[in-house]
Amino acid sequence: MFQFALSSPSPPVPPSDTASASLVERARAGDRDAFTALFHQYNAPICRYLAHLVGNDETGADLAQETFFLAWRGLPGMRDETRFAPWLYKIATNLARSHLRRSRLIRWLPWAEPVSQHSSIPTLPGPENRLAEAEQVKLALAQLTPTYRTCLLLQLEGGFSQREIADFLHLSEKSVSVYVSRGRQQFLQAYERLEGEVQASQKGGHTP
Amino acid sequence: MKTSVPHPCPAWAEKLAAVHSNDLSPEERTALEVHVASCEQCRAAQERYAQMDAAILRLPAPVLPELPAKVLAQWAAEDRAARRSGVVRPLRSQEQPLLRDTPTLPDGPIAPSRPERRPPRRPFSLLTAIAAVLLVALLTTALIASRLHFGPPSGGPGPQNTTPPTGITVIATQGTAVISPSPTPTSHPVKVYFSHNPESYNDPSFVQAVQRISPDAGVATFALKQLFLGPTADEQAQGYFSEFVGNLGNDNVCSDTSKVFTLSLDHRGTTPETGTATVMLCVSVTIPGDLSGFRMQAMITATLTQFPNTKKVVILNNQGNCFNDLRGGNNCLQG
Repeated sequence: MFQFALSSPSPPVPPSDTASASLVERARAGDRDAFTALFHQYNAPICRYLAHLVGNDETGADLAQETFFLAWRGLPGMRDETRFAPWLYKIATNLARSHLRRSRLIRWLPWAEPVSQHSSIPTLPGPENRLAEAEQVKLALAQLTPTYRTCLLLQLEGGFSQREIADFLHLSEKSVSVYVSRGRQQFLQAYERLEGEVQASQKGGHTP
Repeated sequence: MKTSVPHPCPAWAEKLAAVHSNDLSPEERTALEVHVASCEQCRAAQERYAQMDAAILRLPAPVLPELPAKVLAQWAAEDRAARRSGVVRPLRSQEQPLLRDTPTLPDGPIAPSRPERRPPRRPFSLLTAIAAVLLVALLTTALIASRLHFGPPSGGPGPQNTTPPTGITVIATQGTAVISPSPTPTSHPVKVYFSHNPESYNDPSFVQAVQRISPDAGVATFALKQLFLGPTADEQAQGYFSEFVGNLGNDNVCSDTSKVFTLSLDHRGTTPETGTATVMLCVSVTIPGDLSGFRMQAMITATLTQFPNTKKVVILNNQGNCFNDLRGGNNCLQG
């Protein structure tokens, strides 16, 4: 049976762009302290977002480093300092999309097509290695169509509205609404499948 | 496949998945609440979505990297360019590796109490080269002449006896650097380069020198020891600081556990390389902040490159890997 703990974590608190605006303005002028402060403000959420988007913590951290490097170089060309967070997440998302396209994963999971019920479900370890909830959540996330996963994580971890997501993914707001909805259904179905496989393994059954 | 995933009504599915306060108008949100109150499937889906969101947000945070090395390298390159051009700080420039070319120090007497900043690197001119060649020739002639007059120096064979008689020359290769002979037999002035507040917080390669008097000829080892001991209280009051202080572990891997480091001159790691000094830390070092590792590197590099025959410095941690190696490639050992 599909179970999540009832306790709910604090809702995401995306960095306030209003509070960051003066920092961004100073960083655009070359102020390193201001950029370092922005880095500390956004490092954790960007790392989380990228790690969950590409399904690997180390790769996510590497992509986050590249994100902040490109941000530093690109700051002078940034037009609106009150829109720093969407701009930063857009850089991060583009890097992740490039990474996913380069990886073999993209051959199994087309960027915008739904995944069939039987595609690329990883074989779970035996009963001695029962997955912790976190691992199962990560595996379920990895089952999502990349675009659905991107929209969902931008909504949950980035704290963006569907209009903002549509804006920087160059999609219509309606598409984002559909993708988030389908992403949620895909996630729940993937989680259920994984849970079923773990339970089957524990009962001595074999999952092909 | 049997599943317990609830399927919301198609007309409401997208609205159920919209969680941002700006995604739905107040009217749409009210209508959704009214519908959910009367629809079991949509209510179940809404609850499951909330659980799902909580589970995703509960995922452990990955290990957070520090400020990107490429950004720090770019800043260091900008500072070098600024120092060369006399501009306080340019905004952007080409990316270059951090601390790739540490500025050299001027030789000559040191003001006893006044701290000095490292001057900008100047191009090695042809005139300087000619002057150096002439000086070496003159010194060699003087040495030969003195030996003709007074015979070979007393004492057994050793590196000290083969060193030119003037100037500071670091000749040790076994962990202790000596000068021989010294202009004044009992005092060996040496500079120790510390980070300095506030400049080093903006530019981790910024260091500033204080003077110390080494009790013996092991000036390089003495200077490094002073670096790890940190600035005096008076110097601290003037803004000097060393982040090695308070960040050294107790896990000494050296055969002589009283040492904090070993110093091998003319070596890159274990490979002989003229002009390159390798400092291997005997203890683990905690790097407390984003730029701390670069400040530590800058202090050691500047302190050792004050000696004319040390041009490059390699710093290894107590595992033998490159210190502060953010990318993990051990590139400092590749030259």
